[in-house]
Amino acid sequence: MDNTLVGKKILIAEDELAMQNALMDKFKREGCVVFGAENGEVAMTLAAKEQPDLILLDILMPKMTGMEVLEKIREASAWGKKIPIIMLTNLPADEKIMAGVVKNEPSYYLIKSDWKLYEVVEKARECLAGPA
Amino acid sequence: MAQEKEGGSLLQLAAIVEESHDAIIGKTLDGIITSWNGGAKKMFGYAPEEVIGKSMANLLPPELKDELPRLLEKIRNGEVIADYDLVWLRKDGTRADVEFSLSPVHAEGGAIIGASLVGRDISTRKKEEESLRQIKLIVENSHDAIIGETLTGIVTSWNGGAVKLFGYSAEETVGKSVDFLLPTEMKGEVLTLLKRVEAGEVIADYDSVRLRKDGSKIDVALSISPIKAEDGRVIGASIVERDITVRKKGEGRIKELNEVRSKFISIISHQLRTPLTALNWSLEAVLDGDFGTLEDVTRKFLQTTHKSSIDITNRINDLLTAMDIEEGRLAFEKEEVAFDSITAAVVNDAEKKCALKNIACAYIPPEKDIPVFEGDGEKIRTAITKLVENAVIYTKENGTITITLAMQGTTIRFEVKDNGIGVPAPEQHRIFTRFFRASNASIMQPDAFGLGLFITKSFIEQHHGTIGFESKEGEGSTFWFEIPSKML
Repeated sequence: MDNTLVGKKILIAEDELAMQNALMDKFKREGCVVFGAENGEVAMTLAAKEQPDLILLDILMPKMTGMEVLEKIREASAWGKKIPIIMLTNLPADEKIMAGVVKNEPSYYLIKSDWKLYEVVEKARECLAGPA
Repeated sequence: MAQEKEGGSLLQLAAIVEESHDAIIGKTLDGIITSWNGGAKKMFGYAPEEVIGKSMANLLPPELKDELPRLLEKIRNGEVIADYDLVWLRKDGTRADVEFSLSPVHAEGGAIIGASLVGRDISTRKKEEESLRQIKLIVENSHDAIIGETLTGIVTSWNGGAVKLFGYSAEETVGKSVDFLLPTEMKGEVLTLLKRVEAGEVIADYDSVRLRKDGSKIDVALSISPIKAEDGRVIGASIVERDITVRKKGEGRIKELNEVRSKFISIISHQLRTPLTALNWSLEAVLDGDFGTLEDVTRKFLQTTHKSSIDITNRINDLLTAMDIEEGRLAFEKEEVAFDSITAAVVNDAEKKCALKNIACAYIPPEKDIPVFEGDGEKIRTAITKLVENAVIYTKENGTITITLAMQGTTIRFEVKDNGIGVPAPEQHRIFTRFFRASNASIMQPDAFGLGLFITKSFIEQHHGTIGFESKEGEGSTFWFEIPSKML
């Protein structure tokens, strides 16, 4: 059994509570320590305090958008520069978003409705396993 | 000698008269023709012997017969009639507009013994005058403003359309600089445009803004053409200005509607898809047994629910894709595509669905390996999925489906053949049209958008491929596509 995820700290920033629940529950079952944030500000605070190993970050959120959170985390600290972040969205990527994702590596882009829950877990595992 | 000389000059005079281009006709005071020169022959078509000795009245149309005695009466009184216009009849019955002078002929004693008529056919000139008059009327009554200007922007003519559009009369504008029509921020625009026209340009449908007499602004479209002198020099410009207030309003409305539509799309994308995905993921977690083992009945019940929820997501995605295609926003994510494993995976999924309808599903894989292909893998997967799903949906129970993937030279060919309901021949040409569904389709699948083949075709064409099918109603269909393995 692959235990890449066991014991890893994962921050899930998602304002749709049903979705946050589904994700948190799934990652808990994988053995992760999970934190949930329902808006951008809470996400920023939790990220600074917990310094998670991976962040799942919704783009359209109240108070602060995911793209702003991404920029700020990258600027904030040495830890913030290298933590993998998966951007979650339901909007087709426009050039501005893609540019932001490329600029702020290591970050990834994921259109939620195109993915199954277990595929998101796979993606997270891939990110944490590091470059193969 | 003197007589001889006189005789010579008389002869010369006779020759001049004879050869004159004008008609020169002599007649008695009763209107009887006494002489008829070459010009008269040309003008009226009669030879002298046909008319000499006959009354001039025969040459007038019936409604003008009375004119002759009236004119001759004036001659009797010694009057000269100059530049008189009258319509005469030619020999062939056509009418000639003739401008003529009529003068008395005096005998040696001074008595008036006849009249000489010198006439010129002005029919052509009259026609030209008439057409000019009509053009003037057309210009004057045009709904558009038509303005003549010098190259320095001085108004030279101002039609009725301009009066209506701008509220100024011709008297108020002709001779003045056209600046009065320009809002402050546009001063200088006309001179710039006139410079371009002087350089030989014709300006068409140039959108601008003008000021009315009452100070209100109006959206206009300008067309400016040069007015040239006979030597070809540009000496001015004609400017046609059309009121486009309504069009501008329409454009504004269209822009507004487009914004509403974009907003609507974004609402569908985010606000509908997000909770739907949450629902899908939650159901997925429950079905995975994350919350305890499910009883078979419960599992089946939830699977059906999950499938419906996935269906809605797919339909929303299809609608959004169709809009992207229409608006030319379709993205293309180039990557290395493993054609065979995508096809195998789709076939694997299809086999489960076929089993439910007891359909025999055969897959004939390529004989030699498909080379690594540069394309949008997700779109290839969707295209293959949609064609295979259609085959499964439109094939009856116990039917057969054969899926073939092959290399033909450097072309990848995918094909799915079924013995399903087929497409009625008269409808075949519309099968790739968006929202089109064949008339026999709803028996098998009542609720579908009719977007699948539209999207598939667009995806294949994005890969420089071609898509096609052969079908016979009641016997089955073969849908195929071919894609060059090396994309340009």
